[in-house]
Amino acid sequence: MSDTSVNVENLVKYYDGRCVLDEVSFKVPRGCIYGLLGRNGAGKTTIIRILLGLESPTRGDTLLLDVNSSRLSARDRGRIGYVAEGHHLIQHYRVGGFIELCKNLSLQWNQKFFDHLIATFRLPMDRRIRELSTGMRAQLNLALAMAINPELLILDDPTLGLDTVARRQFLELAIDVIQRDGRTILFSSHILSDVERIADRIGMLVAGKLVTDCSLEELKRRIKKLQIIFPDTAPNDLHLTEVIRQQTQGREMVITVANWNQHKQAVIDTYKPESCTEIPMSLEDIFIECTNTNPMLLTV
Amino acid sequence: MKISNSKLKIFLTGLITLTLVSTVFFLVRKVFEVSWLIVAVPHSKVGFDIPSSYFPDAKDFKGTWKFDVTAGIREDAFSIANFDYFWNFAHRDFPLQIKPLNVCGYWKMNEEKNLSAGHQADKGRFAYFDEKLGLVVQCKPIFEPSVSEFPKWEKEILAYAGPEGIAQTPDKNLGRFHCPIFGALWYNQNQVVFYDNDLARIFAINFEQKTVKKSRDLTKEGKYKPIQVKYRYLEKGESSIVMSWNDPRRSQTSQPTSQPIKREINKILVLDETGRIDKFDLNTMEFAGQAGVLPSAPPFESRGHNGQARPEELFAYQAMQFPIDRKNDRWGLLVATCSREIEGLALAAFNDRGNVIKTDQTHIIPLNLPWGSTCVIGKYIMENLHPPILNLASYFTAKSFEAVEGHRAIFVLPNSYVAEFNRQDTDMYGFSKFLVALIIISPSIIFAMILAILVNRNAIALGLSKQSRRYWVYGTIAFGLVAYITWRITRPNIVMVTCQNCGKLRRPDFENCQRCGSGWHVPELIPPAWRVMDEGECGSAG
Amino acid sequence: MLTLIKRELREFGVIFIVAPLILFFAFVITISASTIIHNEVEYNKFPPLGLPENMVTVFQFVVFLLPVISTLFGAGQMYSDRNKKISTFLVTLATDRRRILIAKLIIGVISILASICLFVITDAVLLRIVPRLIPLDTGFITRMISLALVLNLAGYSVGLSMGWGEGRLLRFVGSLLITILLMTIVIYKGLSLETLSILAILALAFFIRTWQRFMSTSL
Repeated sequence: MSDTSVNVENLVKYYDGRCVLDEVSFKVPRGCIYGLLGRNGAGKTTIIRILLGLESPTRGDTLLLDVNSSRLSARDRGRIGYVAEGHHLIQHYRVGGFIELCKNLSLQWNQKFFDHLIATFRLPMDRRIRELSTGMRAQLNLALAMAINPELLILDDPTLGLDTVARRQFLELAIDVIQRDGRTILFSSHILSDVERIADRIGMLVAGKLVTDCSLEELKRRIKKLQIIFPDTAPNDLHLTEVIRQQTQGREMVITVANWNQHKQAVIDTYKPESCTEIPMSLEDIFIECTNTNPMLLTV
Repeated sequence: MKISNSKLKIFLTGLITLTLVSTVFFLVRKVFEVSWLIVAVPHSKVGFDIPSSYFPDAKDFKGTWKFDVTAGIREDAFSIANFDYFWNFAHRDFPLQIKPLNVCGYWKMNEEKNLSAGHQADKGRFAYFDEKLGLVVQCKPIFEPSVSEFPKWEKEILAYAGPEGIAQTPDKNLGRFHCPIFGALWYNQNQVVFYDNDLARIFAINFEQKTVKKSRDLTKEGKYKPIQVKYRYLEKGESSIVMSWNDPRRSQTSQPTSQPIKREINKILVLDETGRIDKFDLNTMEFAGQAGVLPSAPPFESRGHNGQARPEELFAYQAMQFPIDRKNDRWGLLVATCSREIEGLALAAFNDRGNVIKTDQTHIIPLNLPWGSTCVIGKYIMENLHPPILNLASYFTAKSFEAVEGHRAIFVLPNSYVAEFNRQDTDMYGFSKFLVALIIISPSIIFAMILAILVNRNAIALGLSKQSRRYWVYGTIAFGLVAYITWRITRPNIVMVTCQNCGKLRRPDFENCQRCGSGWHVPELIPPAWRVMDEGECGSAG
Repeated sequence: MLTLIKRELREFGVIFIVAPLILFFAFVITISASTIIHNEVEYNKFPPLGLPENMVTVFQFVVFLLPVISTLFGAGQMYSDRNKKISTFLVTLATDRRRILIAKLIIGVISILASICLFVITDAVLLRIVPRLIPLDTGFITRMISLALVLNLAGYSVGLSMGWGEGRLLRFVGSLLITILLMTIVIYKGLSLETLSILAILALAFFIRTWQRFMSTSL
C-alpha cells in the first residue's frame, strides 16, 4: 500500500475535439484533504469522474487507492465515498428505500453515525428523492457517503445548495472524517472559505493545466500581492518572472507574483520604490488572481 | 475500463450487420421477385392437345375430339417458397385440418423425419409410423362420449407391421423400419406403400391380408434412389403448378378436370433422384417400366440428361397418370415442371411405355413483360449490394442448393443471376466462365472497392496501423457494404483536432500526431507560464 | 448481487410479470377454447392425430407477441438506466458494472424463461385435454420451444443493445424493427435448425456487444 490515495499521471481529456485537461498530474497523500479548485468548466468534475472510472481518459492514467480507475472492483469502490455534483441520486426512490439500497450495497455501514446524521439533517424518510430540495439531497448524499466509513472521500462541490448552517455541519463532518486514521478527502468547491477552512493541499486548474499543487500555507507563502509606490511614474515592466497580475496607476503598481523569494524582492528594490507593501490575500483572493481569464498586464 | 476486445467487437458487429443487412436485402429482393411473379403468372401457360387418333378407343366416341392439357403457375407459388414457417405446421396433422380434406386416405408427409399418419375414415382405422418401435401401427379410433367429463378418443391397436411381417404385438422378429418415405396409402385395400431409405426397399403392407411385401434391394441395381413413392400422382411445391386436362371421353362437356376416371390398380409411381419416373408393380414388387421423366424447364431446357431435370433443381413439379384407353389397361403420364427461378414451365405427355408423346414449354423473358425490366434491375441491384464474397460463394455453390430452399437463403444466393449463370449450359468452361461471372457481379466488386477506398482514407486519418488498414481494405472488398457499415460503427469514435505542426487532423488519444509524428501543443488553451508546486517542483512552465 | 436483482425487480417488476401475465391469460383463453371445441359434435367425428391446433395458436403468441415484450423490456432496462443515471450512481457504491449488468440480465432471462415455462405448461394441458392418438413428434415440439426461447432471448438482447442511448423513440422503435426482422427469419426459414442457429448466434452477439458497451461506456 503506497502513501498516496489518489494518483493522477499526465491526464489528458478531450471532449468533442476540445481539450479540457492537458497533461494534469498530481498526487493526494493518505490522510490529506485536497482541495481541487478551478473555474466552471475547468475540468474538476471530469477529473473526479475519470478517477471513479465513470469516464475514460483520452490519455494518461489515474489510480485510486493504488488501483487503476478502469479496474476498480466492487471491494475497492466500497472503500470510496462519493458525493456527486448536483446530487443526482436515483430520483424516483423514496428516501427510506434508497438508504436501504445504499446500505445493502456497502462493505461496512456505520448505522449509529448515519442515524446521527439523518437526525441532524432531519431528512424525511417517506418522501421521494425528487421531492427533496437540493440542500436535502446534498445532505442525504453526504450522509450516505460518510456512513460507509470511506478510506477516501471524493466530494464534487458538496456544499452546493446547502445553507450556511448545513455547510458548517458538513465541514465539521469532514473534519471528523479526517480525524479518523488514514482517511483522505479529495474535494472540489467554489466556496473557497470552506476549502480554506479544511484543505491541507490545493490544486488549481487553469486552462487545462494544474498550476498549483502544494499545501495551503505554501501557496499563501509563495503567492504574493504587493502594492509598490514609485517616486515617479511606475515603470511598465519590472522584469520580474512569474508575474500573475500587474496593475499600474500613476506612481502605484499592484503586482501579484508567483513563487515569491528574495531574488524577486531584490529585483524590485533596484527600482528604488518609495514603499513596497504586501497586501494580505485569502485563498479566494489567490484564486481570483490566478484564474482570471485574461492574465495580461493591466495598465490604467 | 477498456475491457472490450476490439477484434471481438468488430467480429460481432460484423456478424450482426451481415445478418440484419442480408435479411433486409432478402426482403427487398422478395418484393421484386413477388412483383415479378405477379407480372409473369398470366404468361406462364403451357399446353397442347393430343389428337384423338392417338387413343386406341377413339372410335368409340362420337365426332372429332382432342385431349387438351394445360399447365400454369399459381399466383401464390412464392408464398410456398418463402414462408416455411406456416408449412412447418401444415405438415402436421391438426384435427381441424383433416376435416376439410374429407379425411379419406389422408397422408401427410413430415419432410424431415418422414413421420407420417394416415386415417381411414371409411373403415374407421388409421395407421402411423412409430419412430421408437420402427414399426407401422394400425389402429382403430374409439370414441368414448362422457356426460360428466370431456369425451375422449382412445385407440385400439390392431396390428404392428415391420419389414418381416405383421403381428398383434410389437415383436422383435418384425424387424425395424429406419427411414421410411411415406407416399401412398391404399385405403380401400388396407394397404400402405413406402420406400425405406436405409433398407433401400419399397414395402407394401396390407393390413387386411396381413402381408408385408418388399422389393429387392434397390441399391444393388445401380444408383437408383427413390425420393417419392406415390400412387397416381407426384408433386413438389404444394400445388404451385396447376395442371388440368380435358378428356372428352369422360363426358360430353368440355370442363377441364384433374381427376382421372379410374386408377391404375396395383401400380404406383416412383420418382428417382435423377428425375426418372417409373412404374412399380405391387403384385410382383418389381419395376414395371418407365413412366416418364421430369422435363427440364427453361431457361435450362437443354441441360441435364436429355432434357431431364433432377427434382432438387425444380421449384415445383406435378406428375399425373391419365388413361390412354378406357379399359384401364394403358396409362400415360402428364408431367409439368417449373424452373428454379420460376421463369420457365415445361409440360410433357408420355405414353404407357414412357415415351414422349408431346411437349411444350415456355420461357418468360422478364424484359419482354411490362414492369419486368424493373423487377429484374431491382433484383440485380439488390444482389450487387450483397457482399461480393457471398456472391462468389453463390456462384460456386449454385448447383448444391435445393431449388425451394434457395428461395429462403439469406447469405448465399442460389437464385441470384450469377448462380443462375453457373447452372446454365454454355460453351464456356472453367476460367472463362468464371470471368463472365465476375463481370456479372462487377457492380458489387466495384462498389466494394469504392467503399474500401473510403474506409482506407478514413483509417489513415484515424491513424490506424498499416496492417489494420490492410485488413479493413481486404474485408471491405470481400464484404462490401456490410464491412463499410461495420467500419462506421466500430471505428474509433474520436473527434479529431488540428495538428499545429502539419495542419492536418490528428487523434487526441495518440501521444504523437499520426501523420507528422509531432508532440502536443494545445493552441486554444493558454495556461500561465508560472507554476506553484511543492518545493523542488516549482518553476515556470514552458 | 441480490440487492441489485431486487432493485431491478422493483424497477421493472411490472413488465417482469406483464409478459407472463399476458401469456397466462392468452393461454387460459386458448385452453378454454380447446375445451369448447372439444365438446363440439363435429370435432367428435374425427380422432385427434397430430398437434392440437390451439397449441399452434399459443405458439404464435410466444413467437410473434412475446419477443416484442422482451425487446421492450430489454430496451426499457437500458434506456431507463441511462436516462435516470442509475448505474452512474450505483457504480459509486460497493458494486461494479459487471454486477449491475448481470442483475439486469438475470431478471430479463428469468422473465423470458417464466413465459416459456407457461407456454410449455399450456402445451402439456392442451395435450392432456385433447390426447393424441399417435405418438408426439417430440423433436418438433422441442424445436418449437427452443425457437421460442431463442427468439425471445434474441429480442431481449436486441433491446438491451439498442436501449443504451439517447432518443426514446429511436431506441424503442429501432430495437422493435430489428426484432421484427428476426421474426421474418422465422417466417421464411421456418422452425429449422438453421433458424435456431442464426437466432442463437445473433442473441449471443447482441449480448456480448451489450456487455462490451456497458463495461466501457461513460456513465
